[in-house]
Amino acid sequence: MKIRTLKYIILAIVPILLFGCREERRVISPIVPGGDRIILLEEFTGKGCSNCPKGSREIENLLSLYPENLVVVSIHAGFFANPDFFKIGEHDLRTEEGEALFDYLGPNSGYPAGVVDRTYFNGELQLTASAWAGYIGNEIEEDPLVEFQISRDYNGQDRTIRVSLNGRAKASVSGDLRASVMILENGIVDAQDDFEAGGVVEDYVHKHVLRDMLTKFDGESFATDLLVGEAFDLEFSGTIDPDWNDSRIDIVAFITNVKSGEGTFEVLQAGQLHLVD
Amino acid sequence: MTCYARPGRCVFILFAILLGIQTAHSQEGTFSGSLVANGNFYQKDEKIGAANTPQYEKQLYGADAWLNLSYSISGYELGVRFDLFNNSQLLNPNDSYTDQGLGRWYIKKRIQKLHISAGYLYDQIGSGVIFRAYEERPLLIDNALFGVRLVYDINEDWQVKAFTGKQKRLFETYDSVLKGLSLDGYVTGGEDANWNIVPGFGIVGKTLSEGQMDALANNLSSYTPEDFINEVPYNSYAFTVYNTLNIGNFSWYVEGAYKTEEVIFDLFAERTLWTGETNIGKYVLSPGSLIYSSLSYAGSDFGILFDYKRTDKFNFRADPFVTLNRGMINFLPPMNRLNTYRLTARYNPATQELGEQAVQVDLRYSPKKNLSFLVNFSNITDLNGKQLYREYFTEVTLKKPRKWTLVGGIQRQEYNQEIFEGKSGVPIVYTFTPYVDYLYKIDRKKSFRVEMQYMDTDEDFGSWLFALVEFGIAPHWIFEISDMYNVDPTKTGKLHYPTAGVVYTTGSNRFAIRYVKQVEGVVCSGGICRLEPAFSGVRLNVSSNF
Repeated sequence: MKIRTLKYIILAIVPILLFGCREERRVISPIVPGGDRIILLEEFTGKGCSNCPKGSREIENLLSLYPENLVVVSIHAGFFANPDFFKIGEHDLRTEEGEALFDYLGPNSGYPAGVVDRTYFNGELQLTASAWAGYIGNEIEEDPLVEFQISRDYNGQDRTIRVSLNGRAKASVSGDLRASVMILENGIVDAQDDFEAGGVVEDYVHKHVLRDMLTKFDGESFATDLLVGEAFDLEFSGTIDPDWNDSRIDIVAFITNVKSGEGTFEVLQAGQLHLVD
Repeated sequence: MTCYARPGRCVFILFAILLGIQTAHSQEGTFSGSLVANGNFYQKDEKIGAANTPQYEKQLYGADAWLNLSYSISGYELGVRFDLFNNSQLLNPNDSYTDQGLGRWYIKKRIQKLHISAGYLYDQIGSGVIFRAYEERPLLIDNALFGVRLVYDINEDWQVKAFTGKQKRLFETYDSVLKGLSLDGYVTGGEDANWNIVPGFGIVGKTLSEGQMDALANNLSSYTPEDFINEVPYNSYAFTVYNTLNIGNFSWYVEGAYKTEEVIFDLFAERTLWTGETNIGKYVLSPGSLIYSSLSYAGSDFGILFDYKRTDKFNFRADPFVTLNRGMINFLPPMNRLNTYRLTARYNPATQELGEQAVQVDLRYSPKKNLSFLVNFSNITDLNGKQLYREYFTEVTLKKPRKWTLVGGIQRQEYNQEIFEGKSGVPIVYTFTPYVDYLYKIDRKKSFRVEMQYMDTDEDFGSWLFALVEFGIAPHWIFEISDMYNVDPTKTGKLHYPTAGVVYTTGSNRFAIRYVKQVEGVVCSGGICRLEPAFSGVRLNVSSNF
């Protein structure tokens, strides 16, 4: 056989060798929710964002799937939430803390965007709606490093509220440990641009809307190290705005571990409680 | 070597290698380079919508810069590129992105018939439909392959190429691994023959990382039984076969590509949720295919081009979760005319990777040396026949050599704004745009150019008028002033969008400063488009080659 013929035979065989092997595919098993981990999903949305209702439907889908393991906050912030730019509806659902979080958890690369446990996945923090379920599934498989109970003392007359977090570390944790407490309102009826509805829906029901925070937007530091079993008791107070329907208010609390040197601020555990029973 | 964390170390090592080569060969090498630097000074203007981004509200300034350096000696070529983004709008026009560092490095060496390259490489197979590693700075696309490439010259006419690596993602890489192989050739009928063929074949494989697969599997495991996918491949492959046949004045390019089954996000598929509701968009397990052909005839006074493309689920990305302009392994060529005038280029159809059927016909006729005609038609539908885009474009060019050139024509467009810009409930945009461009040479150095365009439309922002006056003093100066005016507005009041600028060129350095008011619109580069918000402020640009 001539050398030249041999060259061509080798050239023909190489692709088959390189690309022709049969692989073992990943078998997908239906999810079985469980465990103690409660995941925080912070969604950035806006009334002017026509694809955001799709994100809201995905949120309700995920809450149906993970009723005990998921807490959601919808943060109206940034370009699509600005009523100067999108003059629809009556209410400006933005908050100072929400705008600060939009920058803190940026950069944004499109709406709706969701941040799962303030964790980078493949280098991305703000994820598209189609990616939320996967990364929530990833996080739920991990045991929580801390656990805590939320309790509240609400005075319906003067609308003052005191929120207590009583918890302990389930493993040794080091870093700048911070607590955040958010006030959410459900059932706000206001306009929303909705691509699939063919335009602006005037009586759209907005859920899980961030209204206020009882802490700084990036949390209140309470420890730099926690040993296994070490307890913490924290208390935060504030006032519920009289314009908000207190029967539809939820309190969301979570613990983050901020590591400035590494540029991370992962949520270790989250929790949620209704303002009134 | 982690060049993101320690770019200085990488540059040092590269140049140490370079000095070693120089010393060993006692030869003088060749240094070359280029710089592009853009500075934007933002001036808030709520009337035109230039507001509510970090740049307008607090930062007031943003910049992007790329500095390329390359050095060649004794068959070696080494290069580095420094990238800078300060409060940049390029990543996301509605947000601010800041980062800087070593954006690229590479080493190339030819050893007889073998070409070796390593580092961040730009390349493509065929027309790029299965693999194209490229850069589009206006859209911050930098899909370089970070890996190794070997090219072997089998003989004068045939070449085989193999590569492996990961796709660049800003200053990092995607986790999936890419590999590819291609064979390109040239066959002619002989010295006297008037025909030749340029055939080729390529394969690209992608392997998802364990992390990507875990996230994908977790995602799919949350699906309801109606949409459930039982098993997912780690590997997907895209194959292409292509050929250009040249016979006399005729040229026919044809390319067929197939992608094996992989999980892709289908924007238009209906998904059943656990709540009983439905959502549009879900992951599906699907193969993809593409056919692309271009037939042309180029005579001395007459030319015709016919393009056809059919795309079916041909999105091929380095990560199953990225969208828009991110993580694209391949490039699907656009099928519409690439217009350059402000108003004729206002509505541009982005390539639809999930499903598109497109044709384009381009006719050119020059009965005299100083007179030419052009007619272009393009039509794009989805695979169900839904109209996405249609354009009729005509152009007449009349010249008086060394004195003046007059270009004029009419454009008619039908543009599906709902699909291309993701705006809900908006109607098809119908435009009718006459335009004229007159260049007058006053003397050997001085020239004067006027552009006028009028876009008549009842949709989107309504009708527009655009005028530009440009005065050039060769070889250094260009002065320009223009205005875009919303003559029959539907959304805003009657607004002016003026621009004034000066460009100074000296040798291979070019400096430009412009005061700009720019309306929101779709910006496209090479068939990839995105919606850009309005701009108000001053733009500085410096470019240099050395």
